[in-house]
Amino acid sequence: MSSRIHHTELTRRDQIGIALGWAGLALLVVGLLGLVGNAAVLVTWVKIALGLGIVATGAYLSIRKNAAMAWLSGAKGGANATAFTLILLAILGLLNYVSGRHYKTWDLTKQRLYSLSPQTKEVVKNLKEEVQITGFYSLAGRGASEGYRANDLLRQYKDLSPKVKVEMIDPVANPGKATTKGFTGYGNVIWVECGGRKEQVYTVGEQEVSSAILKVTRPQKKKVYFLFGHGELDIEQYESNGLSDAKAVLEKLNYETSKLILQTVKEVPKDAAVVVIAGPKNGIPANEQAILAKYLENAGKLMLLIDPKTPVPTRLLQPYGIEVGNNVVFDPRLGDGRALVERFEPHNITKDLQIALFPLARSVSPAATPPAGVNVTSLAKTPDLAWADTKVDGPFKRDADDMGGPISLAVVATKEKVTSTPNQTNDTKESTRLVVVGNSSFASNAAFQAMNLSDAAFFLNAVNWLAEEEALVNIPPKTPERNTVTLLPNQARWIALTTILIIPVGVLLFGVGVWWRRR
Amino acid sequence: MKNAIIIMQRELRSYFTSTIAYTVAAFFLFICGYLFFSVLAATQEASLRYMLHNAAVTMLLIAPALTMRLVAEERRSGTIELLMTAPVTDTQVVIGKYLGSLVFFLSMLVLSLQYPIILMRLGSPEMGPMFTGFLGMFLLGAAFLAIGLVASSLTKNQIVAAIGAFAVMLLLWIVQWAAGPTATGWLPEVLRQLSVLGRFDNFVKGVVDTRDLVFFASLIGFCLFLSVRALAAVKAR
Repeated sequence: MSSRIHHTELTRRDQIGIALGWAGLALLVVGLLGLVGNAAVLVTWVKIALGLGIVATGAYLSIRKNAAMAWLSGAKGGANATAFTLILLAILGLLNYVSGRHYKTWDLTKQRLYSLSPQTKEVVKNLKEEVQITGFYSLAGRGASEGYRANDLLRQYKDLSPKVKVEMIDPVANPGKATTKGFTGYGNVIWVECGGRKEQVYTVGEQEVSSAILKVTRPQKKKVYFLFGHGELDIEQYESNGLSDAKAVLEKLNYETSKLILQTVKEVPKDAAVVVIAGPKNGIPANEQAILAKYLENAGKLMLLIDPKTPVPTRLLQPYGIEVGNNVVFDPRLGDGRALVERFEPHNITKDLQIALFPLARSVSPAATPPAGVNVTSLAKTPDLAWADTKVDGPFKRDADDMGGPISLAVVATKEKVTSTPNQTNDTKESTRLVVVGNSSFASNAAFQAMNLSDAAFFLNAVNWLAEEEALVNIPPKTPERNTVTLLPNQARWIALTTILIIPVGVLLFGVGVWWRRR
Repeated sequence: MKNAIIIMQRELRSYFTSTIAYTVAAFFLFICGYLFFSVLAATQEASLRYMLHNAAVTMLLIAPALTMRLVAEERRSGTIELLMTAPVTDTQVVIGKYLGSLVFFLSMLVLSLQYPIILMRLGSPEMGPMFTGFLGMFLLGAAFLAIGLVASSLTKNQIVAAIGAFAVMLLLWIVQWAAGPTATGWLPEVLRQLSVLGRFDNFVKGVVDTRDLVFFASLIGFCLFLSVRALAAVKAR
């Protein structure tokens, strides 16, 4: 059989086909190699498509069915077939290599357990320098599962960007390698390094690793000042009405925090990225309001949280068209001046927020006609059935002079700063940013511990937006939901009986029946 | 294609009339049922994660048992001659036989849908990971059946076919242990890529990755090609 194939004369058509085939194959290989090195560009894809097309044409011209089958089936002592097998293996290997570089994954778990959050993707995508992440974990023995968790997590970072280099080192199995890295100890730590800076991460979590990446890639920290001295919530207070949790999370997000005491300074410090006034119980004196107003005029960023029954620093609010009502918001379902935000108004600050509960809130709404150049909108509103009661000490009853729902509870205002210096050709326009909320306890430790509400996230998002750091949003940790069932004893018996006995034995008996009939 | 389907039907008929196939199915369902119940009773968790993890091991035994007969038996009994003189190509024979074993395996999987149904009646399990878990089980089975088919095409002896297939599958199963989870360099990386267990893990967790799909497709395609080659070699002799 083989001799017959060999003596077949090659027609013109065959020769063209064979030539085209080789040329196309070469083009295809060049194209695929292009994919291997870098991200695919259009030219590479064109090469691949052209290569495939030419190979197909060549094959169509030259292959006669019988001859091809004989060639493939190795009539010539298997040499052709072996060669073809190797070529196929190489093509499949290359295909898998390329698919390893250009892939897509679908995470079908409800909580997206195996995907990094959009925030992390944003952070990693914008990396300019190379970041080296090294996990030191023992991968044998009792602590091994932690190491595997770290390995799984870090691989996801590596997959996001070629700028991220990931290495896992087992300091117990491979102490030499750990020492050359300068590591001593037993492990359970992740090092995140960039440009000589290093952060150590002790908890395997996306929030921790992403914050560490931010910290090493952005050496300067932005500073958040908390006004102090008028009965505000305190960032050093660990009780449920303190702000220590807010402080801790902000620092994790790469901010510096500090108290601001205006009695001792003439102006807001230059390094202030944001000033927070969290629920002052006493009035802010006129001279201090003047300092803050001046800060605001110079593209300042201020967050004011103001509870009912406390004096309003009008001087800071009037120029930005913000009206704080002298009232208590009352929701008949909750009573006692507690206000529930069931739907946030669309804004960068409120993205992905769900429900927030403001214990004791007053109305904060945009003025009907805000001053020129000011942009002011509501961020959060109560449902229709709530109202703003002007009798702030109760009893709460819907009266004619009470404002009906939906009541605005928070507003955001911006005003572009007018720069008079003509030589400043700044394309990033500076602007005043202001967030005012008619409640302060939504930022307290109590709120930070309430996992199912969006209060804390609302606070953090607002600070991030004020500081123009929208990328730094808080990433809540993910824990696999344990989806439990309660198994009653008779249910358990029934399940055991069906799954272990009835169905398998049923199949077996069916088989015996078939065998019996065939006999 | 029509010829391949005729051969597939022939294979299916022989599966559904063979005691061995029923025994294999019963064994599979017994092990899965036992795992399902004991995991459910121990964890009270509405998830198939642990059960699928453990049940996948049975594939190492089931795939050789289902495929060892496919070509080896025909070669031993001589019926292969009939197949070769019939107007069908080797490719059609291979595809037909492969599809036959795949459809039989699929019918076993359909019977094991009893576990998600039970979980759905007891509570509210997450559907995504259960779906991908079964998809992973199907792809793992499909790859192993293809390996079994190659082994069966290479020998006249069913036992040799089964053991050969088992050895290759076991190798692919444990190959990542040789690489370790973290070692760097091209060889550990390649070894990790070859591991079917790591790929299967992704599906069980609830993650579908195009890399895993491409891998399983390549493995199946290559095995089917080798089977065609093996059959052609028999014919040439």
